[in-house]
Amino acid sequence: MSDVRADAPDTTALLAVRGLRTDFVVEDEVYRAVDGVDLTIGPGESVGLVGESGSGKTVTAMSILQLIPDPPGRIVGGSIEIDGIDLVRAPERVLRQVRGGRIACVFQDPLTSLNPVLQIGDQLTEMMRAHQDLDRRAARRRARELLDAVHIPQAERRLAEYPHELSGGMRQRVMIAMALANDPELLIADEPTTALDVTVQAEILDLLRELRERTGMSLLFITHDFGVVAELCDRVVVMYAGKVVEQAPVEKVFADAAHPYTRRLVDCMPQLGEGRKDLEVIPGLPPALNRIPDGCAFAERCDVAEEACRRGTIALEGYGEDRLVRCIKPGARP
Amino acid sequence: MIGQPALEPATAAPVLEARDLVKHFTARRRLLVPALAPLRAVQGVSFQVQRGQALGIVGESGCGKSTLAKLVMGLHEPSSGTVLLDGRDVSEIPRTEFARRVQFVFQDPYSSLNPRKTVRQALDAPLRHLAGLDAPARRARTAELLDLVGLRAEFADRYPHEFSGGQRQRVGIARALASTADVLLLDEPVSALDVSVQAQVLNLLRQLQQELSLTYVFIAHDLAVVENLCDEVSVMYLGRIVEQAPAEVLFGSPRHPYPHTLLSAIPTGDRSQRRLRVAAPAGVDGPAGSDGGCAFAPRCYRVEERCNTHVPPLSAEPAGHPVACHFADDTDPEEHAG
Amino acid sequence: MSASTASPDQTPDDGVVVPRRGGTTWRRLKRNRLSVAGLIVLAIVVLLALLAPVLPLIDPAATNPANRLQPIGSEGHLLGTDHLGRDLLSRLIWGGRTSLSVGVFATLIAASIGSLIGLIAGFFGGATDNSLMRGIDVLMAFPYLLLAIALVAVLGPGLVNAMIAISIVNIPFFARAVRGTTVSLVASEYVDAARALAFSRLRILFREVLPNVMPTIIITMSTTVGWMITETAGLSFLGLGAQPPTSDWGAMLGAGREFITRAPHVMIVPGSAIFLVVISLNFLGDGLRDALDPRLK
Repeated sequence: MSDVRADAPDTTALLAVRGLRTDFVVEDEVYRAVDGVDLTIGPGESVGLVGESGSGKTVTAMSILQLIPDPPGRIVGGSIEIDGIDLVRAPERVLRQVRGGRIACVFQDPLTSLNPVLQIGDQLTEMMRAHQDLDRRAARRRARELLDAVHIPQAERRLAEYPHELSGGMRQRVMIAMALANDPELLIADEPTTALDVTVQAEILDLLRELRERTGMSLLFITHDFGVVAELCDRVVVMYAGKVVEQAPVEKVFADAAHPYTRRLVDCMPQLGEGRKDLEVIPGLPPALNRIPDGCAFAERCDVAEEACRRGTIALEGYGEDRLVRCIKPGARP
Repeated sequence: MIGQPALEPATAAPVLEARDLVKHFTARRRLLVPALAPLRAVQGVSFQVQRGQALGIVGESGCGKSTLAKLVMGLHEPSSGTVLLDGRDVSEIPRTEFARRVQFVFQDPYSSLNPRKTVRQALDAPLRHLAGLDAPARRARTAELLDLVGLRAEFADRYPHEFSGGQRQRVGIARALASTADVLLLDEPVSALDVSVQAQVLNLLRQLQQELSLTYVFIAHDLAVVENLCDEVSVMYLGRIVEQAPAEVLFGSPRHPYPHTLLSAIPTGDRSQRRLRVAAPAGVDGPAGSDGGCAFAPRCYRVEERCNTHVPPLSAEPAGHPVACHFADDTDPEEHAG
Repeated sequence: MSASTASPDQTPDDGVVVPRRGGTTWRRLKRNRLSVAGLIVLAIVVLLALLAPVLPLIDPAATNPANRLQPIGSEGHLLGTDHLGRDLLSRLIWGGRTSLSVGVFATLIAASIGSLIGLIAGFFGGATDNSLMRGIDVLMAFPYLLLAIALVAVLGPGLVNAMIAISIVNIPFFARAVRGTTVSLVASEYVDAARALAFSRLRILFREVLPNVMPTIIITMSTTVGWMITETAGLSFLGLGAQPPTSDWGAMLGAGREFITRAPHVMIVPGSAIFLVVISLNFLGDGLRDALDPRLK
């Protein structure tokens, strides 16, 4: 299942993103935030999309949801297919059915995603009645069940509360409940635990894992934290400067990353139990998105780069039996 | 190069010490809104830091660690308790003299620099008023400081928005050092940075500490980051310190259930080493005002009757280091978990 | 490559392309066509007003009853004449001098006093804030044109007194806007950093906070100066501002109202001038607000 190759069309894929390009135009400068991303997610699969800020991971997710603010953003190429529907070309009416219906999303900051002046229960029922033919009472009952499903204690009382009355962890549970309201096939979660404390994060991760097992939905989990990915995902997609640089089953990324960027990103995270010591660092910064160099965008910072890395276009190619890597020296060590 | 004060404390006397700091915030009375109970942000916290040491203060949001830092820094007035610098009560130390010794590095490199001041302007004021340098000396020192934090000298005339987050944090560190301070309070200095940049800044902080024998009070929620930099660690929970120990002891075998819970909650990044996850029941977060028992009791995996009725004192007995738990004598809290 | 930091050759700057400061506000203003148009119109009006003494204009006070109420485009009088036969073009340009300078001075006075009140209230908070802002609330509780009229009634009619009255009634707008910005700035970390560096309160207020409040002040100025010109014109229209023989646009408008059916151009000429200047100022103000908004940086 995790052996979904991006270069060959896969009929079993739930979501297939091909050659996605998203630009942002600010003051006549073109910033290519997403530069030819291929991504497939199979039914029931859990994929982690990892990268630092500016890598294009969030823009990829927003593109899938067709939520890129235009202007300044614009999808300029590629397709995003779910069940034969190309979301890039679909009319708004179809998109509204897909968003919040077949594809649901959870964002980093639940407080800005929830309407502050509406009760939790009203927001949940509204969400359901937009997509399903439910009367008010049935929707209310279902809202209660959803809060129970995300382990919110005293669900009945919570329905009548406003977002600000809930703690951060509770709000994120409410967001997840809203996302689940219409039995989505795919849940896109963009850094949903980054703003949370570590114990609360652990609870949310447990909840997501449990829900996935119970409902069989697919998950696209966007994060900068490999630890979180390891807890939750089958497959990892690593992005750098708008491109996918590596795609691999999660355990291989930690044991033996193929792309130098992935390897060094894993290495520079402090690990508990290592004590006081200098960390490996990646010198420099990612290139500006309006001045992406030829060849490999990481070459400037890479410890195994050579002349050939700075020329032409480097393709995302198969590596081993179940991995893809965009590097001409995959697996090289300095 | 960094001007040290003439007075050199006796050996092993702490550079910085907090004694029983308490801070209550009283919400302003508003019409038609019932009066709120005062928020007890910090409830009797004490710590000591030796010269050249790094003390980590960890805890989750709302545990009072940032308030504690502001109390030490004098940005908040404590409700009671004292802060001592080289054994002197800081309330008796003139503000500029204190500023020459103790400085602050903030979490958010975007809001902690004045957007309308160049780096040179930001460094100039402390160099003039605190370090007492004349114009040519300030120019030289600015270049030296930038070099020290790994920035090019020609960046001096740039504005904050022309820098990346990591570079801004370096500017923030340079500003703190410009005052000649040898004690830095660092409030989540790397939590707003990307992973690769975070590593750069952590290495810089460690290197500066060794080169300039700085003393750090390092406030963070990320345990791995704290372990990477600190000798001693205090764990705070709802305004109180629940355990205080050398880093290797605390991260190796915590005695209090709360740090144990924290450690086990970290996603490890390696499934083969997944730790036991300790259940932390949800829905009880928020600063409680309970005097009746241990504040952690509602989330604790080994709570007993006495936990709800008696506040466990922070005591070095029997664990060998301060722990505030009725079960501090247990060597292996893990066996009770789950 | 070694993995240490803090050596200048590894400084993480090489990939970053950050625009140098300078001209960005102007560049962003330029992209707003309406505000550029407003700026051009204002520049022309200001230039004409400044050059009034050297322009080949007929004496604005020279009456010629035989030649009264000439229409626009008549011989020797491009914009016609008023009920005393005075040249409207000349009166318009000379009157513009008065109207604009009163508007600008009133704005400067209101901005200085109002901003200072707002800064002090926002910075010191507590009782200072309360007493200052309640005073401002009292000022705002009156309909402000009525308040201005009352003030002129106390001070006596005249252009200077009208200007003072207009300044006073506009103080609250500055005080409120500046206080709001100041309150949010005082909570910012760089103000905490300045306190940690033991800067004095005055230094923090004027060196750290004030420069960051300036955009708010400039935006408020650009949006209120138009109002102030209208309000001064209003007072003059009612005979409480400019006294003969000096004349501003408001007084011209007032003088023309008797002839509105017979010679409407006597009102239309100064009225259009007021309209043009005020709308130009508003367009420019909108553009400035966007250009100076740091969130759009």
